[in-house]
Amino acid sequence: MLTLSNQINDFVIILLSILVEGIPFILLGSILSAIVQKYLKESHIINFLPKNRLMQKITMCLLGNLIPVCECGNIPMAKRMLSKNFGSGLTISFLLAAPVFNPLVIASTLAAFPGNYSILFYRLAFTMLVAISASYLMEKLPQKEIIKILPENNNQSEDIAKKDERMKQHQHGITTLIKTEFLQMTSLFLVGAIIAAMIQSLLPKEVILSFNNQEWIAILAMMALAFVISICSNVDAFFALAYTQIFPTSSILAFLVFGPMFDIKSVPMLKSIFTWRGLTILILFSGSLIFFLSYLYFLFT
Amino acid sequence: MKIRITLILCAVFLGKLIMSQELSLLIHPRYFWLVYLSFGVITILALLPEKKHHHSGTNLLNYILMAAFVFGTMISLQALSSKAAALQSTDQIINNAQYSRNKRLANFTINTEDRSLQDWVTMFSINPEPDKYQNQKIKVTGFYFLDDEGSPLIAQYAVSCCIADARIIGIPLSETLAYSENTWLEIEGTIDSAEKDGQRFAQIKVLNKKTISTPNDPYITN
Repeated sequence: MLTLSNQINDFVIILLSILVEGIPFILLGSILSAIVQKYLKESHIINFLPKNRLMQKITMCLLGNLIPVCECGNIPMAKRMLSKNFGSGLTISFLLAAPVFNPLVIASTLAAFPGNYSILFYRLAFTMLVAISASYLMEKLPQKEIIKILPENNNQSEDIAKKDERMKQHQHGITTLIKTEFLQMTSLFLVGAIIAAMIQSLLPKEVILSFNNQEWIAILAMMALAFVISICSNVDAFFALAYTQIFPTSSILAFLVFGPMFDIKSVPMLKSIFTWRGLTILILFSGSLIFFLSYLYFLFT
Repeated sequence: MKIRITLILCAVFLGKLIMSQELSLLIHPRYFWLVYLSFGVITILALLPEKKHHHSGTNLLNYILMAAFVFGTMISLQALSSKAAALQSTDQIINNAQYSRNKRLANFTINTEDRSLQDWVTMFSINPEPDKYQNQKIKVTGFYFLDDEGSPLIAQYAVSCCIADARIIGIPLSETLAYSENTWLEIEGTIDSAEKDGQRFAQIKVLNKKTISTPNDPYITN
């Protein structure tokens, strides 16, 4: 058995811990998404969702409560939703909101900030606002330029490779779907985890502590930290707790809202759904909106 | 075939972590069951018969994943070292305690030596006035650590999910010791008070010290 020097061991430990923590959720997400792929028909969706467009998006936000996969697991789900013709609007509402709108995260937010219903409320409210706004924006953009997954029944302008893939999927059983999805997602997740572990071992998190002299700097710093630190949304409240002494609440809120949506480890996986253009627009828009909302929080509370 | 191999490698990797108890070096115990379950599911998926057909192309990412599983199986993992907590000041380390308070702490202990490092750090974070603890006996284990100014502490990492969120917590020592950082020690002494930059805090007046081997569960998990 190989033993490693301290520094390399630290990097490997952080990397493997992110990987091992994520694998169960990616597996769960892949299983759920395979079930959706095999058994969910469009008619089910139409019957299940409310008629009003806004209510549909809100319902998708709340769906995380039924499907409590962490940020890692909801990406396979989102892929299936897109291929089942949910549309980018509804999918993005789910994608961005589900990591926060689930009982585990609500419970852990309250556990980390006992009695502080204000933080919980703003975390949920901002998340939903951003998820819905982003979904309205993204569905207005030309879809081919932002997403890579086209609905199954879209016969127009699919290239041969996509057609092949579609045909293969029809032939595969549910276990093959699970296996391929799980391995594809995990390999992308690994890339993100490697980058996250490198940054965390080269650049200690404490470096961020000097960026708190002005409110807007603090908010940006905590958002940057949220992006770099690859921890699950069900414990990030505890992580944020340690910064509450030094950073203002607005920045902690920004951390708690931005982190579950986007971080280094999820970017490679998101890249399998969105084009670079689409992903960049999504992250920049959501990030700016979160910054704006957090700053408003600072100004008005 | 490649899928089956990758899944087998994944199962072997998870299995090795579970058998060698290295899992406790990576994630919080409350998530262990997720890993056991995943190990089971992945093993089953790996062993299920596969329909014979070809998937196009070699995928570099797939090979990287396989390599990661092989590598993870081959190395002998050690606990997160003190290097990962470099650049922190004693103040910050004391502040970290809020993150890892021991909720089951019993305030009333006849024998103060029975309190763990986490217990002491919890009490200091609730009531930092050192006079309250003056001369109380303390016996704790942890690794030797020097903060960004070279002040000595005995410390441990507190983890709530996975190592990526590890925070260092510790108690300052009254004197530097002749050990290299990251050495695991058992320290016996009494609580003393110290002052720095106008702030008073509790520290350990070291009476007895000895090295111990790195424990199997080196992190504080609450």
